[in-house]
Formats: sequence, C-alpha cells, structure tokens
Amino acid sequence: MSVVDTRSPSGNAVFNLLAGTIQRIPPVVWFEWRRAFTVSRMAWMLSLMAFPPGLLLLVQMAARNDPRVEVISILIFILCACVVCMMSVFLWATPVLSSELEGRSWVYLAVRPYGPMAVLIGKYIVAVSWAIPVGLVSATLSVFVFPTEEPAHLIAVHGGLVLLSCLAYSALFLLIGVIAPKKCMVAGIIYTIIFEVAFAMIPAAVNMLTVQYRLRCLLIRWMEFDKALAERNPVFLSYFGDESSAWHVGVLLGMTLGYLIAAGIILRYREFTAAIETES
Amino acid sequence: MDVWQTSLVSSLAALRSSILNALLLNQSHTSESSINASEIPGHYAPIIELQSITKSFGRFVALRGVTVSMPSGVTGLLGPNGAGKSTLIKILLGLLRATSGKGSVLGMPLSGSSRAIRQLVGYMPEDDCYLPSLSGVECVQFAARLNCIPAVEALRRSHEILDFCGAGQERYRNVETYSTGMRQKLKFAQAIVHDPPLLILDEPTAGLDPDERDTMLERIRGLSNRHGKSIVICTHILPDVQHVSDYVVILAGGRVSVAKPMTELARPSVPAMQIRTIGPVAVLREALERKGKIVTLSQTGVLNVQGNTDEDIRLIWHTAAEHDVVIRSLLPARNSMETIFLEAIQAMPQGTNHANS
Repeated sequence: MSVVDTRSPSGNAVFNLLAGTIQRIPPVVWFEWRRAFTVSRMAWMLSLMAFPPGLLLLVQMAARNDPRVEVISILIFILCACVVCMMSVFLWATPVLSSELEGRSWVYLAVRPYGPMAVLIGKYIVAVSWAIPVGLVSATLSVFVFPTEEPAHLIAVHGGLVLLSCLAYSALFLLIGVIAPKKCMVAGIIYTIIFEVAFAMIPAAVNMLTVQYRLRCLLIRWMEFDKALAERNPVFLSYFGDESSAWHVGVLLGMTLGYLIAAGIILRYREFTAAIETES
Repeated sequence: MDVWQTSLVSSLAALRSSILNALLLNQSHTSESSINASEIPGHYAPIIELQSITKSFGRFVALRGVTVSMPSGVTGLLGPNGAGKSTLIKILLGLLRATSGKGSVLGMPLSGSSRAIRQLVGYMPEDDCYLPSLSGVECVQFAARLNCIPAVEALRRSHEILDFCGAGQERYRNVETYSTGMRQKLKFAQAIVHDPPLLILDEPTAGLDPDERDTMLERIRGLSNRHGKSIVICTHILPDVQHVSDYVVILAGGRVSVAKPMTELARPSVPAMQIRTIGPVAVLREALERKGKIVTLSQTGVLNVQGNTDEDIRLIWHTAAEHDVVIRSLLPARNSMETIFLEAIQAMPQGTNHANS
C-alpha cells in the first residue's frame, strides 16, 4: 500500500506526482460531493437552472413577434454559457483555498502526501460536475421556450458551449482562488468584469486571451452565423476571428490546462499557512 | 473424462493461486500498514535532526539557527508564545521551507522528501481542522483515504482508531456538533489513522477535563511504549510534558534554549530529598537543621533536605521518629517542569525573546 510506495520517491518525479495525485482524487471528489449536498446549495443550483428559461419566457411574453434564431441563440449563449456557468463555477471554484484556510481545515489536507494537488483537482472536478448539468438543463429548457426549426441543433451547440465554458471558467476561477486566497471573490469579480466583459469586447489581440472570445467565436461558427455577419458588415469578423472551430476548442482546452497547471505550480511552491496569511 | 479432469485440475489450480495471492496481499498489507519507527531505514538515532535552521518571514525572524536532535520516544517541545514552535513543526512537515539550514526527519532530508515525510508523520494541529458537513467517522475515513488506504480498509481502520480514542456513538454525528473533548479525539484519530511511525501532536490535551486529559496522556504514552511510535508533543501544559516526555526541547526567541533528556533535567543540581509529613513540619525542620542539614521549606509545605545517601535517609527517619513526626512521603527531589521552563527562558540572552514583536 501507499505507506511504502511513497517512501522511496524513485523514478520520474512528474510521474510520481501524477500517480500520487490521481490515486487521491477519487476520495476528494467523493467527500466533496458528500459535503455539497446541502439544502442551500441545491436551492441555489435550482434557481440558477430556472433563471434563463424564466427570463426568456418573460421576453417571449413581452415580444410581439417571435425573435429570429440569431437573437434566440445569442440570448441563450449569454444567459446559459456565460451567466449561469460562470456563476455556478465561480461559487464552487474560486473559494477552493479560502474556504479551507478560513475553516482551518487546510492543514488537515495539506499534511497528506499529494493532498494539496488532489484537493485542487478534486474540487475542480466537483465544480465542473455540478455546473455542467445546471448549464445543460438550463440551456435545454431555454431552447424550448421559443419555437425554432432545429431545436436539436441549438441544444447541441449550447450544450457544447456550456461544457467548454464550465471547463475553462472553473480552471480560471480556481487559479484566481489560488493566487489570491484571502480576497478570492473580490479578485474573481474584478477579473471577470475587466477581462471577460470589458477586454473581451475590444477587437484587439487582448480579447483573444479571454475565454469569452473563444466561446463567442465557437457560437458563431457552430451556428453558422459568420457568413451572414460577413455579408452584413465585415467589421463583425474582427470580433469573431477567422480561425476554425477546432482551433478555438483547442485553444480553450489549452487555456484550461494552462490555468490548472499554473494553479498547481503556485500551490506546490507557495506557503499557505496561518503565519504567512497574517504576515502578508 | 480427460477433458473434465483437466478442467477440474486447472480450476483447482486457479483457485489455489487466487487464495495464495489473497493471503500474500493480506500479509503484505498487514505488514505495510503497521510500520514501526524501527522499520524505517537508517533508523533511529535521532528521529529528527536539525542543523542551523533559520526561518524568516520578510524582516521577521521566527527561527534563528535551530540545531537540535530529537531521539525516539516522546519529546516535549516547549516554549512561550511566539518562540517558533509552530514554525518549526511546519518546517518538519514540509508546509514551510527553511530560509537556511538543513535537517532530516526519520532519516529523510527535509528538502525534497516532504511527501515521503508526510506519509510517515501523523500531525494533530492545535486548531480545529475538521471538515464541516461530515460525520466524525467520515472525517477520519477521509484522512485515511488521502493516505491512499482503500475505502473499505479506511472505514475499518477509522472505526478501530475511534474505538481506541474512546469515541462512542458520537462518531456518527456531524462534526460541527462536537464538544471540545470530542474534537480533540477526532484530531488525534485522523493523525494516527494511517499508522505513522512519528506523531507530532500540537496541544493534544488543550480543553480536556482532568479525566480525559489523563486518558489522552495514557494513550500517548501507550503509543510510544507499546507500539514503538515516536512522538513530539507541543504543549503549554508543563505537567503533561513532565508526565509523558523522555526528552525535552525548549525554544525561546526562535532559538533552542534546552535540549536534554527529562531525567537529566529533573535531577536537581544538588542531590536532595523531599519530605511530606502529616501534621506540623516545623519541628522536623528545626531538628534536621540542628543536625547540620541544609533544609528549605516550600510554600506547599514540602521540606527539601540536601543529600540523598542512605545515611541521609536514615538520619531523616531517625529524626522524625525522635520528634514523633509522621512522614507521609520521602522521595528524591526532582526539578519541576515549571522551574526547568522558567530557568530556560531566563537563561536566554536579552532581546531574543521577541519572536512576536
């Protein structure tokens, strides 16, 4: 068993790190799930799930004519892939460290071999696994609020965007939570407003660094709005780039992996203790 | 018929092999899961060795060139608030990196072996470190799972350890509802569930009533005596240290002030006997002084008589009998932990005892 396995750290250090971490992820995920089933969390998730279809229902009731599929799709994208996914992973992933540091339970986890890394990845998996169903249900219900010709296509596109949004934003907020554990929520909100809202709208190189840009590009490609937009006004293309969807998916997954690796490196080398917290 | 025979023989062989495998696995598991300190390679003198360890947080220096060797058995780590005890423990556990200096735990160097060290060390922090929303047994099971013990075995061990810690049906309650005593038991259980050869216990008896305190100290002593565990106990309750420790390290102002065996520390500089009597002690004191003995009387009414030879003891008994004084106890004098601690703190150079400033 492990008591002996980890005693002689021979062989490849990276392999040992991966193997040791992977071995410990299932219990972290299991116990995090076990801790997560509280009435307040369930109520919050159900509210998030119901929010986009509810809002769209109000929009439909107020609208005189049925809106075009572009409008419907953009509304669902903003509400589900952006608002719902961001909010659900924000509340799960950002306090990854602060909740343990404030609850003084960090040391309980940190003194276990590979504990910090397993906690990081375990919490990431839990955040993603909670947020994805919420986003998917929300997007599916939203699609059925408006009568469209191809609901299955809309569901598939928004399902894919929800999936990628949850994966990328969870990793991003996890990184913010590790960089600034004491003020993680404030830092997360500020980052989101500055980068994911403001900078993502600037048609310059900086918006390519945002998750929002990639998701937006994928929406346009997968819904095949790009040709229509280009015909209407070529300026729009500067907001959506001309790369393929595979490229955007690849970049998004690369960004996700990059955020996770950065969070892992910070966690490995930074000293998270009460002494440091009070000193800094 | 031949086919049947062949099939039967091969089935029996497979069954035999699987039983043997299971037995071997069980055997190896049992041996791995109960590691004693003596099984560690390079064991055992000393279990912790530090050389010139310094730790700074910016301009604040928490540890200043700590050099100490802690042997196996129970070591008491003492010091006033801000002396650097917690920092030292965190360095031992790899939670903090020393600014300079080197050291080893269980023969493994501090730098580069933190994961291996953590696997072999059980740590009981001073602060509450339970995970909310879980029951006691789940908390301990989670600690075991994080040490890579399989789920079923982790659950079995958790119950076993909680039984050892005297936790009854409370183990099924949510940890947020626990009393201080139960929280201490829980922290202790999660520290020992993976059967580590070295335990670091930070204030293990804090907040316990006298009965529970005695029981906890007995458990600690038992783990060392019967199970061969080495234990570093960090506490402010000095009698606890005197009760269980074989070796004492006192830190003051980030430096090691004292690092000696308990027996050596407890031995007074001048051999003496302590006498407790039934009734007034003044008569005996005067009589002994008349016979040329150097006698002091403590505030608690204990007579301290210099000398501990057989002749000295006979003289005390004779004198008491002559003056009809009934002796309740006559024991070799020992330095109290309070005295040792205060002397150690006062012995430190001026200006060093400001680790918090």
